[in-house]
Amino acid sequence: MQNKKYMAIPILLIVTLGLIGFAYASWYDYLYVNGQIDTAYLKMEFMSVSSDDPPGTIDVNKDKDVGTTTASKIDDTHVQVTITNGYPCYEVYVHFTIENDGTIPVHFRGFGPQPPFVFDGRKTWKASLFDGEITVWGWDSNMEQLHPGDRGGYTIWIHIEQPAKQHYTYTFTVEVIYSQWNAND
Amino acid sequence: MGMDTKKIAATFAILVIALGIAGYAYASWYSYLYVEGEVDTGYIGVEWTVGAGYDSETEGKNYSSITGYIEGDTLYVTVHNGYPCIDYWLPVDILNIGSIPIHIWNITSDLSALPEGTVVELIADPSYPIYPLEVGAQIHPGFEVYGLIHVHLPQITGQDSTYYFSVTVTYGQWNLPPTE
Repeated sequence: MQNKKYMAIPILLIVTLGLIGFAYASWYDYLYVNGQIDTAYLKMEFMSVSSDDPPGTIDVNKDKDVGTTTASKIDDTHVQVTITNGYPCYEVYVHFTIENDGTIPVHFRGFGPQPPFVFDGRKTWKASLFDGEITVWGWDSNMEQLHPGDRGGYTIWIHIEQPAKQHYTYTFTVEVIYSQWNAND
Repeated sequence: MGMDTKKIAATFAILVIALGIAGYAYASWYSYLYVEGEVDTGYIGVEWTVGAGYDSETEGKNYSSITGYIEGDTLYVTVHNGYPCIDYWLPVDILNIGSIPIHIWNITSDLSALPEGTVVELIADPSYPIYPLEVGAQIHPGFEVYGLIHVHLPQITGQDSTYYFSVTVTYGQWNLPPTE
């Protein structure tokens, strides 16, 4: 029995060496691919903002200078719109210009957050805020495409409704939504 | 005749016979034929060829691209300003510059540093169905197989980021199964 074991060892050794020898004997080599992906980015900036009723002007569609709306740029992505001494049926248009400072085209998707903004089928968005006390409309340029470096002009309309409270401050945010041009709706 | 005389005579006779045999041998006509052996071995070798990349951006929207260049046995591929939902293709060929046929044994990828769902693949170029770059393809000396590097980024890809990947193609002599 012991002799059989001793006999098996050299046989195994031969087989193993044979296999190793076969592997080393094969001719083979490699080709390589080293890949790098540098991705793009989206960057939209407010370039300017203005209102149709700055201080010292007659209220929109009225004959008196009662209310006032100021609009100013806070930073590249925020503008501040302030209505002072507003009253029911006071309305104002706020215009702003946005530039695509990113590296790929974008689509303007509208205004948000949604809800409460509702697409009414006429390329406009309507928001009824604070239980109907303030209405904001946004329109123009649904799905407008801005290539890098392009600018687009947009407008929102703010209207104070009859149920609005007296001597009260309403605060809200309107988002301007955009996305990569080739994203799904 | 004494016993000693007989021994001397026998010795002499054996000597004569032996010398005779030897003399016969030396006198025979003979010569040689020679085989001078030389084995010049073949060698395996392939190289990349890279073409002009293209993508699925529509006309008027050439904002991203894919390019490649070669250094030695490495093909360096870069997607520039890439973004989701665009397909990038880079034509790549493998040319047999060796002296024996080879087989492509294996194609492996390391995509671990890419966002989940990213597609990076080295596939056969459908424009050249007779010579596809694929595992098992045989390439004779002077011939090539045609492939494409295809990249597609998922929506979760980060903006303004850099990702890396690698692909390794193993090839070997045509008449052996893959041993690596």
